[in-house]
Amino acid sequence: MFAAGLALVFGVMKIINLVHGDFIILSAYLTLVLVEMTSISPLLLTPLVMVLMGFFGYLIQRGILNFTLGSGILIPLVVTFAMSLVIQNVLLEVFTADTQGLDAGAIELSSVTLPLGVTVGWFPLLTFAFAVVVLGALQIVIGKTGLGRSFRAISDDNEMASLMGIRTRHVFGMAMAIALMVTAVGGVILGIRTQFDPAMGPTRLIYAFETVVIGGIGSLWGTLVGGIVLGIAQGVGAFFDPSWRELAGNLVFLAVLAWRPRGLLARRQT
Amino acid sequence: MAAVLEVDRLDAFYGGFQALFEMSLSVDEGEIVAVVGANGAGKSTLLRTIAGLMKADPGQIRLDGSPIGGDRPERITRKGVTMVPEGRRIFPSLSIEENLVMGGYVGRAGKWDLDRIYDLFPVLKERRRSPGTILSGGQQQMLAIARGLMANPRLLLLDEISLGLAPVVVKRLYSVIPQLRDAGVSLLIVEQDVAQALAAADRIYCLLRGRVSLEARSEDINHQDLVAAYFGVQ
Repeated sequence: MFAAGLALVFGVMKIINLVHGDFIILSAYLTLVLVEMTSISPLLLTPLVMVLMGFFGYLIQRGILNFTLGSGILIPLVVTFAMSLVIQNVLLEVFTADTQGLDAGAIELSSVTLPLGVTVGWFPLLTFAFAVVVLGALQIVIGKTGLGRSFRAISDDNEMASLMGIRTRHVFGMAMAIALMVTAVGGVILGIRTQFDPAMGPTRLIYAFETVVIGGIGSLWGTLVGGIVLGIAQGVGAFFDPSWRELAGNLVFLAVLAWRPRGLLARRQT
Repeated sequence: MAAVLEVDRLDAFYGGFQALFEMSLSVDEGEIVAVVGANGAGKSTLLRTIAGLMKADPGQIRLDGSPIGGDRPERITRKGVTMVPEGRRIFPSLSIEENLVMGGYVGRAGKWDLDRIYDLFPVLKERRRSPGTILSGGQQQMLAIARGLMANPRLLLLDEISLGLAPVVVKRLYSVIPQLRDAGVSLLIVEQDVAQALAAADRIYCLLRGRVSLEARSEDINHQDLVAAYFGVQ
């Protein structure tokens, strides 16, 4: 789900967003603050976090990132890298370097036994369901709505889209807003599943990049497949030795780059 | 008749290179005007600047008397100038119908809608669910023109619509143009093929190295003058 947001931003705006990982962590901290203020379960707060992050994304895009477009690949990279540092340090200042976690209650530990005797935790199951729902919703937005049509048109040919009268700056803002709404869901789940601290963003960013590349750039369902592949690889690696976790994921990533450089479910070339 | 478009001493630059020099021209209500000239004469630059893709001072380009020079392209489209660019530039990720709907994005009121477009170009209707890129070159050009019409423009800018197409296809495309005029659209056409331009247009401008070298009504044109204006020989 982190990866879907990243893929959307790359597809529409053609920028590589180095601050993406920190947006995930930011969502988790935002949820933490909201939980402390309201004492509601983080899962129920997800829609609110999505809306807040969506607004935040639109403002960031219109206020900062739109000015970096059209000036080559380097400027957006530098600017997003700088934003990444800013967010990490602001989080560090406000929340300190202590690790934090979100508490979703009993659901975190309870499990269900499926036919064939396989026991699955409710929470991983819920995570998967969330991923499918979010990607499905994203697919509908991109495939069926006017906004999605604008995304695809801009992704194809930015200049031509502006000749059609599309306000590209606004559409970019909307793309970032939707990307961050998706990311927000990821951030809540991350916060429940693991401990987090302000410096975690960049690692998440690398996973997100690997997921996008494994799945195939420009393919949403590829992103889901990429996430599953990466997750399985890390799980299998960790089974043999906990320190092999990252290694296994990276090896799979390299293998895909070597044999299927366009990704597993790459969009067909036109 | 009142001028729809006036270009007034327009200069245009690519970095330090000046592509247009004090260029002036006009298109009247309901008129078809063609711009001809050799490669590099500034024809496409002229259209791109009118459409807002290149810088201009506000007063250098006027639509119905009000300045539009240097506006953002999306605002110029909203005001009623639509460009059909060189090379067609169909959106490959969109179906034919979606390409057309995209053309109508600005929501200007007017005669052109999907039904009317499909009457004009039935082949687009037959394949409306397919991606635009499966069409032949000539059909893609029809789609590009149709997409431009969907914006219900006052003025349609056509850039090299005959490029790379067979003569019979070009003829078919140009046969549509009088119908556009009858529907109230004024046209500014850039065309490589001078004979085609003369046949289609009421008036032509010939450009030479960024300047207007000749302006004449199509029926008054003198072959020798045109050759001289085109190639710059005396």
